[in-house]
This record gives sequence, structure tokens and C-alpha cells, in this order.
Amino acid sequence: MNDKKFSIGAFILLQIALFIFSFGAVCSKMAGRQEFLSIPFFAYYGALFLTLFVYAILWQQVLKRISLVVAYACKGIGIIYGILWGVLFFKEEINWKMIAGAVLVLIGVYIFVFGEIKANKKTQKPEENEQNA
Amino acid sequence: MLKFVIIFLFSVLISSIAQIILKKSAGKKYDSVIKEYLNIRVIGAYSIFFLSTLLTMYAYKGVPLTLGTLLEAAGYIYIPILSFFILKEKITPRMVIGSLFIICGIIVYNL
Repeated sequence: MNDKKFSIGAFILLQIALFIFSFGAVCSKMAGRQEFLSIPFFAYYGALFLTLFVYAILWQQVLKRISLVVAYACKGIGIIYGILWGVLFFKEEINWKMIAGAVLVLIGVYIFVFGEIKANKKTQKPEENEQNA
Repeated sequence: MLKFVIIFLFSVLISSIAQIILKKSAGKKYDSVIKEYLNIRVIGAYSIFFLSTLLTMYAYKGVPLTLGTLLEAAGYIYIPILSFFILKEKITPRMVIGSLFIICGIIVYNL
């Protein structure tokens, strides 16, 4: 499968998609805290569907531009958003295991993304040389 | 419990297959943006996602939540393997190392 050349724009789109997706868990947890079938319950449940809908639209655009393996690896960033929203919205406590886990995930995503940039630079250079010749 | 773990892993597998179908659809050219979404592949993939959520819900009957989040990490193994065989995507040593870091991170996070 041929992916388009690496573009920062596609990675920014991916990050926006993952950022929006992370709010799905917040909406889901908030819905679970409301009285079943009450107005706030439907409001949060509706917000959950909206976030998933927007995410699905963005995800398809991301897949048009980025390799599935790399895009899927970036989903690991969700752990960091999970920690952030847990602390900000639900006053959850974080421990060293969560931080260590998040750091390992970040390193993994870093290896993926920068591997992609390196590989792309390599494929672009010969093309540039061909054009200059 | 083994039965539920197998169902969970199967659920993650079909969800990964759905991602491959989405990627296949993304690689095709369509006449309009609407058709990029309203086509048999995308609709089929999201139907599989729906089936996967039902299977996961059933599997959680016998799988603890902490183990569930770990089993979900199986996607980081399924996706590269399926991408290699079906999408013919290159799997580099960097990707294998990256996947291992992500899986280890998820394990440490859930310790």
C-alpha cells in the first residue's frame, strides 16, 4: 500500500483525532455517573457519540495519509490523555507506575514516528537528486 | 477464565482486521467525500467494530478490567502482522522495538 509522503499536517490531524477521541472516555465516565436515562445522562452519552463520530471521520483521513502501523502506534498516546483527564476532571491520583508506563509508551511512539520521518527523508533524497540531475 | 481471555483476544483480532479494511478503503479513490465514508468497506469495518465491542463486553464477564486493558494491547501485535501480510506494509526493526516499548508501557501502567 503506497502512502503519501510524510507530512507534518497528517500527524497534526492524527493528534487532533486522538485528542478528540480521548474525550470519549471522559464523556463515558461522566455518563456513568449520572442517573440512568436522565437528561445529563443523554447529554454525556450524546457527547460520547459525537466525539466518536468526529474521530471516525478524522481517522479515515489520517489513514489516507499515514501507514496504519504508525497511526495505530500513536494511539498509545491515549494513556497520557487518560492520566491528564483523570487528574483534571476526576481528581484521580497518579502513581509512579502510571508515569513510568506513560514514559515507556511515549518512547515507543517516538521511535515509531521518528523512524517514519527518517525513512521518508531517505526516500525523498534520491528523488531530489534525480530532479537536480 | 481462559474461555473469556480467548474471546477477548478474538475481539481484538477482529477489531484489528476492521482497521485493515478501513486502511484498504482509505487507499482507494472515490468520486466524492461522502463515498469515502459510505461504502461497503467502511460500513463493514464499523459493523465489525460494533461486533467487537459486544464480544469485549461479554468477555469482561470473566476477565478483570486490569487484564482487559492489557489484552487490548494485543492490537499492537496484530496490526503490524496483518499490515505486513495483507497491506504489504514494511515492518522495520524500529517498529518492532517501538511496539515492544508501547506494550511494556501498557503493562507497567496496569501493574
